[in-house]
Amino acid sequence: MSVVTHRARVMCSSLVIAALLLVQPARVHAQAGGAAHGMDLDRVIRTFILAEQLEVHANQPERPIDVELVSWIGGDYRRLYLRVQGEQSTLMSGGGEMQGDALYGRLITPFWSFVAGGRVDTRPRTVIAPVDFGDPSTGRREPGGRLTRGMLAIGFIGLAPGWFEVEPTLLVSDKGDVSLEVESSFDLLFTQRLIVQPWIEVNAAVQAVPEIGVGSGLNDVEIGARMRYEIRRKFAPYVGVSMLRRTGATAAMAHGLGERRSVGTITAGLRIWR
Amino acid sequence: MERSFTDGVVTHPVTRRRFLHAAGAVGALAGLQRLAPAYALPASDRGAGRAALAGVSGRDTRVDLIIDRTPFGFGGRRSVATTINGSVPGPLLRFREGERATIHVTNRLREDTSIHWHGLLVPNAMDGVPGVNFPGIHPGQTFVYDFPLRQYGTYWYHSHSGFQEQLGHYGPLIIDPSEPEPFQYDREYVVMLSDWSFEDPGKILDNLKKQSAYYNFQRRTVGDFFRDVDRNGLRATIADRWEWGKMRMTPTDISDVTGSTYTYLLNGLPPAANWTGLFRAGERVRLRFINAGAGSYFDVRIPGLEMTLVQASGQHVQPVAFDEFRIEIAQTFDVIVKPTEDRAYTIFAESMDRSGYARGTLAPRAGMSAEIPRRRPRPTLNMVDMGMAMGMGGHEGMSMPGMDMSGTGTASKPGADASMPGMDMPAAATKPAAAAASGHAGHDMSSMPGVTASGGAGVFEGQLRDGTIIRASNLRAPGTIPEPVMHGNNTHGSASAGTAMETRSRLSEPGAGLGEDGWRVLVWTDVKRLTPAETFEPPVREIELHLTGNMERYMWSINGIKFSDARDPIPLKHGERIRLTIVNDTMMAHPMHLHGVFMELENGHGPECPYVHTINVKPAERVSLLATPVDPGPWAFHCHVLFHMDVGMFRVFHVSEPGGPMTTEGEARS
Repeated sequence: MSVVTHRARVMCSSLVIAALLLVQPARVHAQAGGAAHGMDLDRVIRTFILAEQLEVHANQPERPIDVELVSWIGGDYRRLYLRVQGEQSTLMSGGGEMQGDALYGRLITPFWSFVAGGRVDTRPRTVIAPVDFGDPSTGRREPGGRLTRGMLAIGFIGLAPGWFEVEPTLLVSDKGDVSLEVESSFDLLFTQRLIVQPWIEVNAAVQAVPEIGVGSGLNDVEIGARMRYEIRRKFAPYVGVSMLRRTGATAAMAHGLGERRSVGTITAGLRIWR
Repeated sequence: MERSFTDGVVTHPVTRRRFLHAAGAVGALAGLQRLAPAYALPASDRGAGRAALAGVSGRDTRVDLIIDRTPFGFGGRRSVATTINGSVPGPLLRFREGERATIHVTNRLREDTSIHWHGLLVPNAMDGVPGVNFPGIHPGQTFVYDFPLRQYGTYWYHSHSGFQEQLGHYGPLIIDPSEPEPFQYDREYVVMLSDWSFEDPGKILDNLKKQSAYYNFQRRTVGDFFRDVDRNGLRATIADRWEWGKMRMTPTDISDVTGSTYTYLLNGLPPAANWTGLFRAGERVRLRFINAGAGSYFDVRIPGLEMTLVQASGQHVQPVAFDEFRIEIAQTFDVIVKPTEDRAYTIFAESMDRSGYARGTLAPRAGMSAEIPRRRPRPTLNMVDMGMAMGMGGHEGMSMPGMDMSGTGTASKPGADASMPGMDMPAAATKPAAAAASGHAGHDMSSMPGVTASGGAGVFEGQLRDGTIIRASNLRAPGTIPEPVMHGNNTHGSASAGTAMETRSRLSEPGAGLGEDGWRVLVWTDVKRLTPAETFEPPVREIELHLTGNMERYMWSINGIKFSDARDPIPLKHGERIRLTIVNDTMMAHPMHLHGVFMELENGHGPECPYVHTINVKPAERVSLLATPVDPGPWAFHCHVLFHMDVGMFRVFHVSEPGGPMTTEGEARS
């Protein structure tokens, strides 16, 4: 596939996502409009879709598009959470990675939901020659097809003291590999509309999964900040910076693929919700 | 007997053609505001003084009200309102005490509608709450409200269906007393305050459900942080931020729907339209203030004029003079002013969170206006508002620097001594009465299925399934102010974030952002009934409800349970004397309204306690009211913030038939 048509495909799917977000939701109150006060309106099922990230990594050689969607459908106490995260190069086809979570969530304390469900994760597989992860000079590794895994996921979605949004998720793959990811972010208001959002993501694994370049122990820590301007609450362009730091065996494997231990990224994107 | 429609009072059946004709005439006259009802027309087009509010009387009075959708807008923006006889607000209805009202309400909408007569003591079937008193008025139907007028005063009426109240479905209602009034005045005007949004109210609620701070554009910023550091020091500022952050709450959370989407209206007119009431210097002008806001409290003043309260909730009170008052949602206050100068005066009704204002003018001639005062800075809540108790040395909640002991709260004061020896909480708690009322029965009784009956005579004592606490009696004398009470260990579950540790009476406080401007502000402890009660019995039962909320998910409830999860009514016995204690465990104010009965607000004045139909309960406040329910049937009880009610801060009280048994749980479900 040529680069051009591939880029067109990527742009098209981005537009579809944006259109989905901007389409007016079914008028929730239409059927509740005639209801008595307090009678049924407190049970309305709502749908929330947030494109937390819809961004281009401006300074990466492949100019990847990065998408992170968070959505829920449900009421006050029980919700179905859907999370999608993906990255795709706009310059070449193939590669790219995507993970989708479907989680049942239940509010267990005023600020915390317990969530449990599954994840599908797909990403490029790496073919590895025997290698000493501590010594990257002992072998070369090459990309080789894709690896798709199913995983069980349990965790929490909540708001920690100090207004930190925290999402720890424990994952068990179909091979029995156990890993943990923790995401946290925070809103810092410079004005009522100019908001800086520092964030952190930490990944750790119990077992190494060399096919996807994951070593055991702490894999990586990524910190970043996005500065958004809420033209409307639901429509906020942003610019961001982030720094990914791979650690331990994971860093060694990345090195084997010709990737760097630390990657700095500059991004520009949109935060949209409805 | 015929009056023209533009008098604002309907005296005869109105055909649609005739109604449209009249509405058109109003539009032509009003210019800016084509839906303005008669009392909101520019002063020159309106009869002067009393004539402008002239009403109808007579036993055979029949009123026709038509509920419809009508184009509405101002400032170049257009929308559609849910209107009564084509205007926003609806027409002024005026009756005389002792007569009978017959009101035909026709629904021309595509959805159900209803009218509730706010504050009126009517037979249960006439109260107008769909699903509680009647099924509602279906599209195309005409429902006939027919009830005796057993009281006098200023009231209002509004839809109790869906979001119609937010869309313009409300109007003023005056009942002239059969006895002469104990005060004199030369002119009178209705001043109906409300809030209008060009956003769909369903959308507003949806936005709040997804991001509760959606309309709050007054949150604390990085700049505020450095200003506080300058003023209070780094440590105190960080400690203050941490205290709020620990609770995941913000001190700027005053109103959840604000001027960022609301335009505040006075008699249906935006500030630019400048509603004007005429007077001649030296006259006494009676202003009948009604807060018909769906979600807005107003702080009202008329710079240069002292106001004298003569009626509250429609009932005579001992005159009390002041310069500003906060009118809670759904409340009515009648005040008299006496402008002596030949100049214009601004009626300035600032929204409680200072995000906007409604405005009108009192003037000797049409077309005049006075200076519009500058809006004050937004108020902030303090740790007292959060129920972080005073006088509990050693408690975790007391380690807070920056606590503001004034209770009226603006900025936190640095280094305030948190251990506050002044407050004598423990002593109060040792009194038997306070001990009986102390805290929350909490889990002590939660093991009981449903209600525990004791006393044999059908007097419930214990805790209802929805957490409502019922006590057989209370030793506190009637009419006295409740003691501060520590909250028990029942924190009402995940629907309730940040339960107030201690709740206290705050009737003597003007409320957040008021009382520090150097002028007098009306507080509820100032208000006394005009004629003391002849008999003032102590209550035989006390019913305690806790107002709860989780702002993070925009959940509002009572006892941590929203209405749809607690459909069982709270049983009341016909003719019994009850004490209703409302405890606000949230950080927002809630105007609570009980239908079908007047409540006597226990503000420390014994038999002179004023009657109310709606009472604001401030954050961390404990309010008690006495009532003797007489009219049998199910009666709505709810927060009058429209969206709080809609998402679950609502209950039904069921009054038994005379001599009949009380409703038990599980019965009378609709």
